[in-house]
Amino acid sequence: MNKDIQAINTMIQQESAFVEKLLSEIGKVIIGQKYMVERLLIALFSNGHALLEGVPGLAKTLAVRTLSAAIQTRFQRIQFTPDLLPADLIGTLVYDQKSGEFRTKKGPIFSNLILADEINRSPAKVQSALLEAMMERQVTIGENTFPMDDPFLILATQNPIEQEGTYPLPEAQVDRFMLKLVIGYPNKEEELKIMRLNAGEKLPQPDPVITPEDIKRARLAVSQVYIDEKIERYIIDIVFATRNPSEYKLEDLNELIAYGASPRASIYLSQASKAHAFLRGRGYVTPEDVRAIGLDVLRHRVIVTYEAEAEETTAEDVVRKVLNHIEVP
Amino acid sequence: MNQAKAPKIRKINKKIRVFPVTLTLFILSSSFSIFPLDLPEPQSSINISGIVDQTKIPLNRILTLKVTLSWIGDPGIFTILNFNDPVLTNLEITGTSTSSRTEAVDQGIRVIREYEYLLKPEGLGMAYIESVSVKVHNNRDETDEILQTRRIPVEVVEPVPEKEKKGNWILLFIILILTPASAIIILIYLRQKKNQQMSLSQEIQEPTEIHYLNELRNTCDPDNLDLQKDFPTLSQLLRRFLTEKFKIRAMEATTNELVAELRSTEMHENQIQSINEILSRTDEIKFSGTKGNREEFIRFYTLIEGMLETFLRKPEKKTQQSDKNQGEEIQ
Repeated sequence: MNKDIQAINTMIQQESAFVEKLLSEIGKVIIGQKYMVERLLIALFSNGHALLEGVPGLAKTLAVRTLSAAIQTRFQRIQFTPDLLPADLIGTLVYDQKSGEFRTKKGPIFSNLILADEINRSPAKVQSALLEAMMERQVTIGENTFPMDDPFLILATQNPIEQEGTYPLPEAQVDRFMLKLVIGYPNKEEELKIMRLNAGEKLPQPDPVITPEDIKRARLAVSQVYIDEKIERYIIDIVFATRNPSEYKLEDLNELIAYGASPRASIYLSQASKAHAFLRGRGYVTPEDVRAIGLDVLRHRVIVTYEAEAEETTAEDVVRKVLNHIEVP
Repeated sequence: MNQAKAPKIRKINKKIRVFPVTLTLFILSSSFSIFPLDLPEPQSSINISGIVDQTKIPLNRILTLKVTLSWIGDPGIFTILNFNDPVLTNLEITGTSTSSRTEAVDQGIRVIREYEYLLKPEGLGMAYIESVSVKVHNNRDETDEILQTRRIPVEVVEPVPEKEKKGNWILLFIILILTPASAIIILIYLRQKKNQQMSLSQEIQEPTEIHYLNELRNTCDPDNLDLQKDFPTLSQLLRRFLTEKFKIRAMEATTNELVAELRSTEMHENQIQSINEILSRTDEIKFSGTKGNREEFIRFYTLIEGMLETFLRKPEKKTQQSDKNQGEEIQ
């Protein structure tokens, strides 16, 4: 192995040693849902945000709360409602009668882990305020600009049912989420464990495993994970196949894709693959990492045509087909 | 007695008086028939006649009316000025034709003009060809004459079954029998041809394993190695072979996916583990910049070579069945 890469590999193995302990602590409270927990960590370590889609009752809030406790960060849950205002989210200027001056009252967004529950229940102006904070990592209230806390991770949830009276996120805004996770039901054994766990008086609490400082270090380590040019080209091929399917002998997708994935997809796919490799204690990215995270990075970035919708072909189907078609390096 | 005979005698006397009158009348009438009256000859010798081919016609059949004009002598004596279509009741004209001919007779030449009409009955019951009138000009004495046929009655009866329909059914039946039969014959022929081609191509084509063994020996020379290139080449060759051998998408699958897919085949676990080891290690070499060593390469080379040779020795079915010995050979 190249000496530099060998050093990276060793460093990653050391830095990622806490991952197993962290997963174990979260696993005390969250039964199953390994997919969701792993991807929350990927978002956390690659400085992205995640959109969670799943029916109510799948422990989305509990997972974020538990993660927050395990990594010793502050957690805020904001329930998005139709009457929510941007000021309710980011804060506002309050007139102080004693001093006769306006005082800044920061909103709940000033926290480390934010759970934006049912983000599609609020109108576009509130969504925009949140998404702006996500990208800029700062919020301006009056004349003052305030940087967001670090780590700053937004986990927004969407309910796939009850779409009436909701404000679906525009494609441009959905694109800002690094990952879109589709949360499924637990299996029988997991559900049995969940049932037994919840039969007790109190849920177990996770022990703190890492600090925000450890997270910053882990992020630095993730950014140093080696990604070979062959893997980079593999990522580019996947993303380009969503834009020009016929170039990759995927002519049948031509009619189904209205817009392919943006360059953000390539960036996030690379970063998320590195984070996935980090979770596996590897200092280099393999096609396994790209394939493992590809669907979560791409499913909300490919816009399907009306014809595809009529055929009940989803963006996920399209991405799956692309991933299964492109040759691994 | 004399009084009783008197009426009889009167009767006989009466008969004797009537006989000469009866005789005279008989003689007169007989002589009239034997010696006809000398009637004047008709002015024109042109004749018209109209005949039909049948007097009882089913509703779904066609009646033929033939109108014939004929005269003896010079064909130019008469000129037909006007030939009117027949006046019809319960019939309609569906077609016409004419012909003209001459024939030699004792008196000279008979000129015959025939006009044929095809008539279709309109409904059940009686139908009539009222008349056909023809206006002719006698060029000899410069006179015009109108000739007419007599009224011809025709009875239109219930339609008869169409013979053609029966014929169609037979035709259809023949087609139904012949089409599958011919299709079967063609299929058998094509199959035989395909089998011949396949057996020919099998004779010509070398087994997959031989092809990959040759490729392995030609591309990777254990005595002259370029490890940075040869490990990926080895991995590619193995993936291509697995794609061809098991009809799986080995080129698009990651190592873990491929191994999982191989487990769904009947490949032996030991072979799968060998493949996993080779591909995982070559992945590491490809993507982490690790340089594999020569011994490692030779080991992988031997493993793949042994695997190909084992597949070659075993018949198709046995290679896909769980065969422990096979795995042991590879190990």
